[in-house]
Amino acid sequence: MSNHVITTTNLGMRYGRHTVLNGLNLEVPKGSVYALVGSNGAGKTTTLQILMNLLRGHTGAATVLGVDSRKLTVNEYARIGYVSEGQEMPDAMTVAEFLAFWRPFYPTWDNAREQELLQLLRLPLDRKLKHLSRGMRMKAALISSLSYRPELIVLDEPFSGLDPLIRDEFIEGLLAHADESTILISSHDLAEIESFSSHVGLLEDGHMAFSEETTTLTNRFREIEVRAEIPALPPKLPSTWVRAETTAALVRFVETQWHPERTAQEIKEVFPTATDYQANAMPLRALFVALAKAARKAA
Amino acid sequence: MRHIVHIVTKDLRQAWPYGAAALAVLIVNTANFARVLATRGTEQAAALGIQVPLDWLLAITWALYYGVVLLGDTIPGTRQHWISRPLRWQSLLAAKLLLLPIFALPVAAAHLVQLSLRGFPLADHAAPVIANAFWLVFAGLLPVATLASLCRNLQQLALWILALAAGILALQQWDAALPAALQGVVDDATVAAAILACAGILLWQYATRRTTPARIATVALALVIATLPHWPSSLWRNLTHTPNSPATLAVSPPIEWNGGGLRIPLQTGNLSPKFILKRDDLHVRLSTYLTATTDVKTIDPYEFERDGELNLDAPAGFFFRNAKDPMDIEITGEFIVFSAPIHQSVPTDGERFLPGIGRCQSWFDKLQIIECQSVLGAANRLEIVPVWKFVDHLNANKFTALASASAQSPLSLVPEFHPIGLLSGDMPAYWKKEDSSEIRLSTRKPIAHIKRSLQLRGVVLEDIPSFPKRQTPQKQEPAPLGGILNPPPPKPNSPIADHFIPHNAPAKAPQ
Repeated sequence: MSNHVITTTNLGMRYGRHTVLNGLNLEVPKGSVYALVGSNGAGKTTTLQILMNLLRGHTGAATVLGVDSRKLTVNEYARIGYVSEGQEMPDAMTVAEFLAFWRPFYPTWDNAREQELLQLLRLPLDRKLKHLSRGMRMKAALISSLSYRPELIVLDEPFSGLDPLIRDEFIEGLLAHADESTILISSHDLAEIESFSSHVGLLEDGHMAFSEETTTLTNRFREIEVRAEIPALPPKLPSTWVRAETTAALVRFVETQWHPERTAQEIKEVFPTATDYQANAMPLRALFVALAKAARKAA
Repeated sequence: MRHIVHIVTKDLRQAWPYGAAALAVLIVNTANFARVLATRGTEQAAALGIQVPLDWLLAITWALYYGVVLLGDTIPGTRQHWISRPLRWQSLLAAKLLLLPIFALPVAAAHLVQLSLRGFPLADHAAPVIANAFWLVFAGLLPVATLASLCRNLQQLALWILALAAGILALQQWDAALPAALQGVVDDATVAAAILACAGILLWQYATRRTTPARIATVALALVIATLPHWPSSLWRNLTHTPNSPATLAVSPPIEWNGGGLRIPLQTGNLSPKFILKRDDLHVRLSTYLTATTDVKTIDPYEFERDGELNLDAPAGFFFRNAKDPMDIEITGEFIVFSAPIHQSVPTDGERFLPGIGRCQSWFDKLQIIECQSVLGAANRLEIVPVWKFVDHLNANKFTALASASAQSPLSLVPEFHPIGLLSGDMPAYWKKEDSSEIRLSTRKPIAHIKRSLQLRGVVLEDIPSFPKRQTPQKQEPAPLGGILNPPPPKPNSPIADHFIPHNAPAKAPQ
């Protein structure tokens, strides 16, 4: 098996005339925590559902754990933990019944880990699922998906609508017991996952805008503020600059290929009157917003 | 298998309130049946009155129970908790289907109780009754399983069931014009097609979860199956125009209007001397089309027997008295011509031995079962059983009862119904207090069907000179239910008398 747990090649999907995925290429390295980000409707959920063989792509191919996603069998599902936003749960079951129901289906189910997760996430065993809050239900789904030590954990918008406390507990539970797993997590809010994701892929208009390690990404992007009195932005700017804007004596833009010397040189060339500039590291969330806005503007 | 049992256990545990309700209704239903048998008068009438609602309630509660269990693991959608788990669809489907025999057990128990209350020896009948209960539950709940596999919740399931039921009922209003003798075969084919379609869609949906195509296929197949009886109707009409068809043994001259009544004649000249006319169908049809102008009792058979002799050359048919001007009405009549009755006699000393069934306890010394019709060409698997209670006629010293009959072709694809499963059959039976005859069963083989349809729209029909006018109709005693086997007593030396066993004839051995 290659070093990638998930790969997609030119994956395409459409609903009627609406194209959702358009030649998506994705590679999720083994052992990584891969954050698949994108705005609402970008195709994140569709991608994950194709990977889980819940949907079938119209073009391209996808492999999960070395198997064509369309041919996933119970053997692969026993190695995958999948939790999605708004997952339909058996409401009439208690948490204990829910876990007891799934236990026999997984040969690798670890009762000790289940107990640890239950204690960590403080989930009442005797409570029926229909009487649990949304966050608690997600916790129950997470416990049922981590207790068998899956090789791959796929989480589709797991934090959507969760309050911060529950979200932190959820992440804590995830990270505490997913050390040997590969995690693919989709979200439209990078602030939730930037603290623990090792890789980030931005899904935009059905294809991957970029996909790289988080540290590389954060090193590559800088928000630049240039002190320069210019009446207007020059018509031609370096192609690596996005979201350029000017106010009074300040020019602000995002450098997508930050390199101290080269960027400084380009600033001098574009703004000869510049007196000073400052390069600020960007949180993933700001980075994502900047790129998304730039893409919309370009579109 | 371990996983299947695990899922079944989960389902039974999760839906136990619905199961308890279904069991409770089953118990009440059985208790009410016992009350019908054990009581008389108003109490019995009350028990009979709620039996039909109870039957419906029973069907609804079991369908609801099964629907809830099935929808515990819904098939449509992509967000179910089980869908990306190591759960084989085959195991899931097997677990859901395994519930059917489990559900059949209490139903079989209830049937055995009812059988026992009716006097059947359980040792002789337990196996077929249990098999029948399994079959009933399977045939009844398989469509529920199929529709549930297309739905996301109970509301959707209820809407689907109502919509399909309404559509099928609407299509059934479209008269199939199918000969009664062929109806059994077509019913078999329809049931078999429905079961195959349900099973196919169920398998497809569980295997692929492609709900939209499955829904389209369901609607299409429901339409096809609901209209299935109409296809052989066309075939049958074509057959009747084939010169060598048995149906052409009898011909029907045009309907005649003489100003005072309608004659719907039948030329019997080509028929075998052993024949009998059934007029029940004509009753039904005429009453359907002429409800505003007539009463079914005013239709009289005439002229098939004259002067004590069977006149094969004389036209026979039905005379419709008191008819209003038939302008702008449509008349459709159907004659069924049967071969001679084949009588079977059974002992009358309390217990009855009925062909293909076994012993039957009757409350009365005498019971005459009327109108046992077999499927065309398959008279050897007739089953008859009297059920329910005898009810007093209000104005006569007669009793009527309902009996159930099942007749299937030997080549039928559908498993045979045991009569116990047909508790609500509505075949008429008749008994007369002063009648000392033994129980008689008769089977007759239809040999011809003639259907006539004539529209009279502003056309004045001319009399047909060759057709004899009917004599002034005389007031006749209304025919009892299922009247064909209660014709006027045959006159001595009449050939037709040979075909009715005298009341004091010795009993023949059961077949």
